[in-house]
This record gives sequence, C-alpha cells and structure tokens, in this order.
Amino acid sequence: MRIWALLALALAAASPAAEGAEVNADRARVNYMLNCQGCHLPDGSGVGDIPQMRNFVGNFLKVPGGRAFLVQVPGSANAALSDAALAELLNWMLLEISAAQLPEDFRPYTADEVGQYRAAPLSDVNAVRLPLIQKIALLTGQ
Amino acid sequence: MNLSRITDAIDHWTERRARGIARGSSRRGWLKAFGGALVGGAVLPLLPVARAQAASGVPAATGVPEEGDPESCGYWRYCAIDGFLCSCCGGSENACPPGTEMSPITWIGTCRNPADGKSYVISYNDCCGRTGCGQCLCNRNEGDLPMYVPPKNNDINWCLGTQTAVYHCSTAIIIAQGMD
Repeated sequence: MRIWALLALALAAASPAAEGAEVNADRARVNYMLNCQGCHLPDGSGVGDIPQMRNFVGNFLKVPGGRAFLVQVPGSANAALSDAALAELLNWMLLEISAAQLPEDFRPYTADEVGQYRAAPLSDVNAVRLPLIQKIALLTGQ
Repeated sequence: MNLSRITDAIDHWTERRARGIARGSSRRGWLKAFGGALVGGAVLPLLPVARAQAASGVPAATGVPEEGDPESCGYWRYCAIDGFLCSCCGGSENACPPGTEMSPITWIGTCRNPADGKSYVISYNDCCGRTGCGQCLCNRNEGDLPMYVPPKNNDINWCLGTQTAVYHCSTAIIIAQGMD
C-alpha cells in the first residue's frame, strides 16, 4: 500500500509534462509536419502571404502580448493538438527555427498557459499582429 | 530509255551513299548515339521538376519498404488523397509530370504502410500549371476534416505558391516516419 503511494509520488515528481517543459523532439517535429509545415514550409521560411517564422518568430516573445499571440493565432489555437502537445510543439519550434531571436529569459510554454491563451482566440489576427510587428521593428531595428 | 538512265543513276548514287555510310559508321556507334538521345530525352524534362521538388523542400525518403501499385488508388500512400494520381499522368508518386510545377504549400497526412506496419507522414504536393489530368481520380480522405478547418481539408485547391493555381495532379511523398 505504502509502496504504491510512494511510487505514485515519485512518478508525479518525475513527470515534467505537468510543467510543460518536456520536449520529445521527434513527436514535436511530426506534429509540426502535420499541423504547420504544409503552409509554413519545412524550415518555417514561409512563402508569399504566409509569414516567415524562421529566424523571426522568437522576436514575438520580446514584446508585450507576443507570447499570447503565438498561441492565439488560428494555426495554433485551432490545431487538433492537446494543450500539452501544442506547448511541446511551440517550445521545440522556437528553439529549432528561431533560437537566436529568443529573449535571454525565455521560459518554455506550459500546457496550462497554452490552455488559457487558446481559450481566447483572435477574431482579427492582423489587427493584433501589426502593432506587435511594429514593436519588434522598433526593438530590433529591422 | 531516258527513264532507265535516270533510275540507274539514282541506283548508283544510293548504292554509293549506302556503302559510304556503312564504311563510316558502325551499328554499335549508332546504338550509342541513339541511347544517348534516349537517356538525354528522359533526363531533360525532369530537370525543372527536380528543381521544383528541391524548392518545395521535400526530401524523398529512402529505405522505406514498399508494396502495391502506385498507379492504383488502393496504393497505401494514397490513404488521404483527393485528386488525380500523378503516377497515371506522366509523373510518379514522388514527382510531377514534365511541364508542371510542384506546389511548395501542401496537404499533409499520415498513412500506414502494409509492408512494415508502420505509419508514415505523407505530403500530397499538388502539381500545377496544366489543366486537370483526368486520369486515376482517387478520393480516399482518411483524416480529412471539414472545410472550416482549412489546413486539414483536402477539398481546397493546394496549388498555392505556384505560378498558376491550375491543378493538374497529386503526388504522395513520404517525408518522415510517423509516431506509432
């Protein structure tokens, strides 16, 4: 009896999924392929009207509102992924394609955080995106 | 009289030319030239397609066990396809027919490979720039979601990011092994 309780405690403590920090790179990459890559392209470079994420998307975490925005955009908020899987995908993707643009105090998304943000999806994406892009431009001089 | 003289002259001229050609050439030499033309002819039309595939960033998977007929709708990679099979249109399951452009923007799904029982991520890149191929219509739609989920819907025209939005046929390229 006691040993089971101990085992359960140990498992709970050892499970980083509750904190959203665990990243299974293979799973994240396949989820990126199935949910993002069709439009954003394999390396995230985008094409035409599809925004460039490669070497850029990390900038959003440097400006107020950007952290929520990356979860609230339709591609994230509406993806057929659990909160934990979406958090994992975003954390993997940010480091994979835009590590150099991340703020120094970058904190990985947690599943709970992602769940809260995606409960408030955007109805007019560009109205939110444009001011963020302008703030990023001021910040980075791009 | 005159006529036979003319035909004789033609005969002599033809004979001289034929012997001249026979002396100056060999059957193997002819085979070599003809073979070169055949291979060259096969490679040349592939060049723009190969460039399009490189531009689309789709690496062809290697070492995946295969079974089935890519010209049949029942072929395993087509589990989520909706369109004409490029294999029946002068291309293949991996490449666009000559004269068409592969769309870099694409519908992606997963299919189970009967040869090894594993699932693979399949990219259904459309080939664009010529009118609909009309051969081997295949509409299987596993994992297809309604139109209000555009990234997971295969009824929309995925000829996006190409020079024209004219749809010709669909490929089915393995881009990764899935998570089983």
